[in-house]
Amino acid sequence: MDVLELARWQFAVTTVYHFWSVPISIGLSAIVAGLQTTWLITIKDDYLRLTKFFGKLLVINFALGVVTGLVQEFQFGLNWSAYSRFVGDVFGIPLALEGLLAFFLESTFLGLWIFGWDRLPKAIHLAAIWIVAIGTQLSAYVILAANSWMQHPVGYVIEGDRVRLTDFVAVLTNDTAISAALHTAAACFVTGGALVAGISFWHLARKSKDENAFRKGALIGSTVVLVAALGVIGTGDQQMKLVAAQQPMKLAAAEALFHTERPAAFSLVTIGNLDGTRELWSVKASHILSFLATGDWNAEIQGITELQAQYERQYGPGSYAPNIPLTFWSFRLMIGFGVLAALLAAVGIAITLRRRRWLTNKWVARVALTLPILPLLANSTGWIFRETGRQPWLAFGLFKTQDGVSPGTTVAEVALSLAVFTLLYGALAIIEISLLKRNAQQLPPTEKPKQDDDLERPMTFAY
Amino acid sequence: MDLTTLWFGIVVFFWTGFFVLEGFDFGVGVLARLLGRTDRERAAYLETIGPHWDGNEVWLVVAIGAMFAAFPAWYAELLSTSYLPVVLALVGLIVRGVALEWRGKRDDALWRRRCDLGIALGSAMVPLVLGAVLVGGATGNFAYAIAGGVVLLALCLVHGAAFLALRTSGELRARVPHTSRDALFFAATSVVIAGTIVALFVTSFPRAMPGLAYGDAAASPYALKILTWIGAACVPLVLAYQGWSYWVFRRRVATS
Repeated sequence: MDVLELARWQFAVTTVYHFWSVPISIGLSAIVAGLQTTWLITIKDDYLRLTKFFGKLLVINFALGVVTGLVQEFQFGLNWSAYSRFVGDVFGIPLALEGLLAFFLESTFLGLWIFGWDRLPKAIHLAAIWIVAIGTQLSAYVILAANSWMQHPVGYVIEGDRVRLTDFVAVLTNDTAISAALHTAAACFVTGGALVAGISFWHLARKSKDENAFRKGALIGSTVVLVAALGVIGTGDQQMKLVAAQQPMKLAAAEALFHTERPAAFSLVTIGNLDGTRELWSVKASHILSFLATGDWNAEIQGITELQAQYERQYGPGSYAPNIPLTFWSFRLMIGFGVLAALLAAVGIAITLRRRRWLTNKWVARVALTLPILPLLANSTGWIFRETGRQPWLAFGLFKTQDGVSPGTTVAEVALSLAVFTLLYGALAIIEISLLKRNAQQLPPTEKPKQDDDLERPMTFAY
Repeated sequence: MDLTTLWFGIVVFFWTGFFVLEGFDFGVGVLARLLGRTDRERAAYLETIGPHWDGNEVWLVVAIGAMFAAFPAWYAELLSTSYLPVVLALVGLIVRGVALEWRGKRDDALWRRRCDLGIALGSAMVPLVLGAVLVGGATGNFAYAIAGGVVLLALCLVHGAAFLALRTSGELRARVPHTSRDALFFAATSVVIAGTIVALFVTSFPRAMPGLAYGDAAASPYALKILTWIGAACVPLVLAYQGWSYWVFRRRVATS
């Protein structure tokens, strides 16, 4: 393997991993804030206990998102310095903004929330967790604006061998960014909701003592999943139309559409030949792709072969198609995992409300634990689709991935750091899962927060 | 003053803020393990930085982000040419971050001792390596780089002691090297660290690295203007609420 391949693997490994913990933090922080708000309004003890129970899981998970996010901040300079030089004028500002606007808010107010239970007035303590939740959304938006610029560059001119920013507002209001941010935010709520629902159903199935609290958790989590899933579908449809207009090759690859069709059929399954250049067998639904991609049942959708010829004329010789099987299947798996999570949540709501005695069936406990995993898989495959579908470009139409790696780095350096991060992240995943499991199996805490502040109270670590 | 010089100053400000704030976190991370005799004492030492260390660490993220935004070529050159040391610093930051946050999440003495070790090692490694990267980047001299790392680690330890003296009481405070005037001692170590970092950058100005001037590494005037607006809007706010969080947790920590 060469530096390019290793650097791509490193980015894939560290980014997919980072994006396991991040959606949980984004979704769960808002749900915990909602639970705490409900407690303060209803004064029902169950909501306080759920707040603390899921708040602890939030804190465990947040740590992993923070530390793996550090690597992301440095990685562009470590492995992709040629790209950093090319794109710095546009790309650096969102990264700086993310730190100044979002990370400071998240970290400072999470500290205030964790340690402030008996130091802050209730309303201010509640505000702290809401500010954390808002901070995570701001962070997601800004970094998605940066990523969306790579999918659909706006607000720039090319000057010499680099990009010069001409309109920062255009970068922030890129239609691709707005759509991606809504889609991602909705997916994060599915993820957070599925965690809350899955753990609550597990406790219900195991006949835990806290049936009342966990029934609330199950209903709240499942409802969040269902409502957010509708948002994911709506914004996903919007994204498909943007991809059709801005990155037609990505759409063609997602559908394994080798030749231009009018009207184009949606592929349920396509088996191609081994190098992914020709279709061997498929099951298709006619007109559907035309409609999904453009809103017109009879629109023409360009195929991979025709686009390849067009790009060669436009950009010179080379391959302009991404890895077709990977793009095709990651797209379908994303949809499949997401739909399955929504269906499970719907079934969960139905039996909680109508067939409560079914909840103690042993299958509920098993299925409940798969529920939180499904959105994680949908998130990962979704990002693999978005990023590999963009290849061979780093910034679409402007800069190729193969030109982006750091010129001076050696295979040994990148291979070593890839090994170190992979092993370290693997170990941390095992620890995180065991900590989450250990804490999720316990019952929510029963003690109320101390009202008066005891100066001499024994200090335990407030986490 | 032109925007390039202004952003040189702001990047230096972020680096200085990082080492002044996270500097005592690093020191406390090491000292908690060395001075705390029981699990409870170590937890109490760590509690002094508990609400703050994560926010302090963002100063590093912002310093790096601001370098990327204001001086893309400097960001690209410094990180890609200091590859393995930067990876080492990241490993230190990762280990110490999760160890701090996960320490109290298991009721198990062995688990906490391991976390304390992770916190101490990570806290020592990061200033050692980052000090070497910054000095090495500015001078291009290996021996200076090593010396820079060692000096920075030593400063962080003294700074951490000053912070612990200021934020603990009773037996905990008695064990930390301290003076009769905690606030003054802490102010002094802060000034020394700040002065060291500022001097490091200023003495090599206008060179960001050997062969690379800030003027040539800088982003376009338009990008710097946008960045200036963002900084003007965010930085005062950040200083205000971070300052407030120190005020909220101003009470000294004790074990009994």
